[in-house]
Amino acid sequence: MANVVVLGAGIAGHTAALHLRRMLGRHHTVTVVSPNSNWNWIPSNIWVGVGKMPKTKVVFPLAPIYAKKGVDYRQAKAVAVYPQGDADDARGAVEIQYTGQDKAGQTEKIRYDYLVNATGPKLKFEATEGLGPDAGNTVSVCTADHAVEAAEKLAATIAKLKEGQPQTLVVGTGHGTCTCEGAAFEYTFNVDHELREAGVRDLATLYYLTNEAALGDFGVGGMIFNQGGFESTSELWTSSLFRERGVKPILGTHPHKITSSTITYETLDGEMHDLDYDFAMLLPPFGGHPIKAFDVAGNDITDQVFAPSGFMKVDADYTPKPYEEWRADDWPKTYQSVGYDNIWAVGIAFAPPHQISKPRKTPNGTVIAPAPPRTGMPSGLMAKIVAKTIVDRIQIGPKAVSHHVSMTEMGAVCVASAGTGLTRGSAAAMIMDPVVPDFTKYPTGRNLATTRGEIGLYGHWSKLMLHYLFIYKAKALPGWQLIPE
Amino acid sequence: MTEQNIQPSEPKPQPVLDLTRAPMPNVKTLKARYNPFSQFGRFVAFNYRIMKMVVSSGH
Ligand SMILES: Cc1cc2nc3c(=O)[nH]c(=O)nc-3n(C[C@H](O)[C@H](O)[C@H](O)COP(=O)(O)OP(=O)(O)OC[C@H]3O[C@@H](n4cnc5c(N)ncnc54)[C@H](O)[C@@H]3O)c2cc1C
Repeated sequence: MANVVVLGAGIAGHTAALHLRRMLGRHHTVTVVSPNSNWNWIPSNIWVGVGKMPKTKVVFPLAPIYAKKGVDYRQAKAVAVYPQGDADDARGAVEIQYTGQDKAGQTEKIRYDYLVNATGPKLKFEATEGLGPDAGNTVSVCTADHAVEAAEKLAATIAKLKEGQPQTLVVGTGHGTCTCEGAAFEYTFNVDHELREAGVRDLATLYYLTNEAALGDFGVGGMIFNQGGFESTSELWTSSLFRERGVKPILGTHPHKITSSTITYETLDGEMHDLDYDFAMLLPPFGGHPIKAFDVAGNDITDQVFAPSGFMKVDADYTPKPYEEWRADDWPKTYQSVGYDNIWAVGIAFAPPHQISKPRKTPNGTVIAPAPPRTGMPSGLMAKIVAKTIVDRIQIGPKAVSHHVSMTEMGAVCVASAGTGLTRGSAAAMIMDPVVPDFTKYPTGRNLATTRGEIGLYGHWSKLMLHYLFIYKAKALPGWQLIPE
Repeated sequence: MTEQNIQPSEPKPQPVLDLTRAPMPNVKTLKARYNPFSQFGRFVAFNYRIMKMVVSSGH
């Protein structure tokens, strides 16, 4: 009998747990540790954030699904890992602290034979003074609750516009090292749509404030599209889309301080600027969760297991080297942790080896470097291959070959969709294949046959379809495993 | 298009990217974006590409 423990129940952790439970006999245990009682389809938080969808349509409780499937669910957060075991037991252990199930605050050590870290990002609002919902100035759409608050504040801004008061709205990144620019882009598209629907677009100034050095960078160094017989760029595509909608982009920014009325930011040329605003949705930078690691004697080995960013070190090439020298091959393939062959990190929880988008510094030394996105599809796929590796280890033995997939082989889909109904919506839809460009395989770094940027009603249909398909899959309803990650 | 221009009409000037040379869609393109027939074709093609990508990444 083997005990598999999965930390996190987001896109990666939940996928890993469902596949493990599907593939392993009931004499093996699958335990999920996650502090939130709900599963959240995060991409649709964008719709919640403009009031187009209620929170109840993007979240559902995990406990009933796990009870039905025979997964042991602990509503708790992992606080420490003991990969070598401890004085009581040679098996690895995780220290967890309950956040629910009538045990909030209690701690417990649980043993594992195999551990999957899928704890996703810590939202580091504290990295910029005054950033985020807790500081009370800017809003976020990173969680469903954040998105509900964003919708309320946006509605209040639209109400003022309807009274004839001009308003300044800002959407973008709240720090020079943010990732997930695609989400900020999607939200901009939606806010513009809401302003137009409310008939107040003329009175509103909408800024896109981003750490990207060029429009359409998206933290992946931009994309080349095959369009009408020409090689076009994501920069041109995004520029056209923003020009058409009257969105004002401000590039290469690092916000230093945010108050209730002003965003003070630096640009790549080292200049400081003050932007007065009425409504702002700025994403936080991501880091790993503060999980400690200890050896068998209780010594702190956190820096051996985790990178300084807090993400877990896996089978990537972390050798420091200039940006120009990185190779597709540096990216991890098995997601097995450094030094421990029974621990893996998947989804946002693994430490990327380097930036995909070129990192830059201002003359003042401020780093403006979009971090690599780790999107939904790759997160799910990594989780699935790690689940398969664990099943093989259990069923075949320790010599079983690891399954592998790299972000240089996996693509991402980003659909900025606005509006309601099947005939009144619109969308900007992007396929990037693969996420991490591989110049040894494709002259432009990506597959031109699949990499695309398009605008049209059909993108709205696609986003709706993905919303319902992935929620169906996450609820583990009949045939869920046939829906690809 | 990558030049930055300072917009004097703003309350505080901001280094907004100049988009005046970015292409604007023509009427035909705008109409096509809402034509259910052409959009259905694009919907099929888009999802076919996703499936192609999914299969090639080893699902
Ligand atoms: C607004 C927004 C829109 C997006 N849109 C898209 C899109 O259109 N397409 C796309 O591909 N991607 C999109 N993404 C990215 C996508 O959401 C992520 O790639 C995905 O959620 C990553 O999955 P994950 O499981 O690694 O992390 P998460 O989904 O964040 O899950 C992390 C899990 O770990 C749990 N956890 C946290 N701390 C601990 C702890 N200490 N111990 C145990 N558990 C813990 C959390 O509660 C959560 O359950 C979007 C992201 C955002 C923010």
